[in-house]
Amino acid sequence: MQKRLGDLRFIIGLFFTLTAGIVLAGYLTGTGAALNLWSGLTFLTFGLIMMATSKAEGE
Amino acid sequence: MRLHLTDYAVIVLYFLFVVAVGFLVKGRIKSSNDFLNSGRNIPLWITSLAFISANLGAQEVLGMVASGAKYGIMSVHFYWVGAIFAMVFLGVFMMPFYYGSKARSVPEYLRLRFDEKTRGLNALTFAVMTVFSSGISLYALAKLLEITLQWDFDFSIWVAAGIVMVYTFMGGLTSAVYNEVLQFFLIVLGLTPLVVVGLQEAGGWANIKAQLEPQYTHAWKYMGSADQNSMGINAMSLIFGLGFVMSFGYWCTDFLVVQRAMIARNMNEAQRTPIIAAVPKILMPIIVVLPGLIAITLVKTGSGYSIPTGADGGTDYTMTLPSLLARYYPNGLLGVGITALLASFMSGMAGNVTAFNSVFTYDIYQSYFVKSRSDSHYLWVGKIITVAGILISVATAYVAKSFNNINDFLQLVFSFVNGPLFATFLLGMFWKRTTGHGAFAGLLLGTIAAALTHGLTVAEGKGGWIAETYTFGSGMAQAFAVASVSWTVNFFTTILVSLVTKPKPDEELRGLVWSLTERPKASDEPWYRRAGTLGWMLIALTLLLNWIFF
Repeated sequence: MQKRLGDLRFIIGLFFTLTAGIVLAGYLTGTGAALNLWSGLTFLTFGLIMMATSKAEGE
Repeated sequence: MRLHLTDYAVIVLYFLFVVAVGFLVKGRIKSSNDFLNSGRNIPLWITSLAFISANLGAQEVLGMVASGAKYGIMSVHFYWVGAIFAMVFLGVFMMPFYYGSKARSVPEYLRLRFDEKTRGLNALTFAVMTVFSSGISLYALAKLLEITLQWDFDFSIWVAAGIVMVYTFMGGLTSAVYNEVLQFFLIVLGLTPLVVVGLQEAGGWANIKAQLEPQYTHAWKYMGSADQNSMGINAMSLIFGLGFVMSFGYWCTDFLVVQRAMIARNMNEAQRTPIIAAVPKILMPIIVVLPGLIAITLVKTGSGYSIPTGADGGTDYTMTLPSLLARYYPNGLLGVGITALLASFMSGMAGNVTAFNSVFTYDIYQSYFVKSRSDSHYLWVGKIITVAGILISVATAYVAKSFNNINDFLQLVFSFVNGPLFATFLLGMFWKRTTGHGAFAGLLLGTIAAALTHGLTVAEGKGGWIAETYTFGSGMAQAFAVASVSWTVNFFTTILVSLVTKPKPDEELRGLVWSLTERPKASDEPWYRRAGTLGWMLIALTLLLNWIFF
């Protein structure tokens, strides 16, 4: 994971995955708003795709 | 608007990431070239998204939603007339000179093409403009935080400026560019849910068209006369003032955006940077203009929504977007929306500061004050200028406090500086007879003409500081007129003075002028790597959109 930090796609992906975690946690524990659920799932999908396409240094 | 723990968690996470980017990039900064020019080693997808993101500051996001609510769909002209054509022109025709000449900045190109005094004038005006723009971004953010989070205005300015300072100080241009890409995705993904739910409540595009007066939903139909539309301008003023003078002046000569293309890995990628960036730019009105139209539809249909009023009791269009976020976003997603707005501010401010950095260090400090010192000296000067630029921006933010619509104000500032500038580049790149004296005189008189036009005309209570000889229907119309007059004065002054002064010999102009430069051959490249082919496709798509929303 550390080697992938040099790839911007990984950083962006990690940010959106963590953001999705916060938004979805808000949905599960508090608001229950559908907009949080759908937006959280969208962020999660985007984040995971970005991380999956990133490359480690030297690859 | 009340934020909860989840909202603050997203904001803190974002702050941590932008600062972390600075730390990660810091190790790569070995020279002034790394700090100020990213070592010309940034991949195409990053330069392209940074190119558009550098323009996606607070004035773009808050200002364009405000324009959408104030002027309706005619605000798309800033994209489908005022951006795409200029971006394609930059990629196809101008990047070969900027990139091929190996100039480190736009003012440095002017020195190579013309002379030292033309570079000096451009560098100085650009430096003033960037800190002004940066200050406006900062003001917008502080005002936003004051309303949404009840943060103290002064405290917001210092906290926000401090975070930008940390990551630009550590990682320079690369850090700013990387964060701009993160900010781009955050703004797009963070504001898209707003458009979806807003459009749903407004009854879809068909109902927006049914509810609003037709001049708010037709881009061109009511442009025949200035009296027929809310913007107070006619088609010819729009096409010449915005579509030609202001947009080409901004997209083709403003180092803030051109710098993102100049740090590409090679000529082909430098040329394609603005063209690839034009793809999301075409679609950006969905994110930043449509919410304004949704807002005025909701006001009209008695939904209980209203656009906030300012201290003077008038409608404060700048607060349209935050008020929509407060209406639709539940806690959690609200944090993302607020963070997207924070990101738009940071994007604008960091872009301005890094461009200011390069121009001040290379074109002012190294050129006029300390010419021959070690590279580490200029690296440190660049870092000190980062801090100085941010401090000047903070001071400038207080100047912006007295204006209502940020976008109108910014267009006015651009028209003073950028309005005449494109004439200089157009003649300089495509007419080898243009001389340094001609360029300098044209720029000087063009800028003076801009100031005089503003001083002799008035719109929305602004201008007319010499005499009120003419009243425009809107601040936007006045800005277009100021830019058009300054461009025309510059164009003809440059030609006249050039004809009576001695031009540079051809040998000194190779690689700097169209007729004396070998163009990059694209015939061996597949179609999707050819700047010209991609450019024509984008122009066709833009014309189609103008026709659909006519």
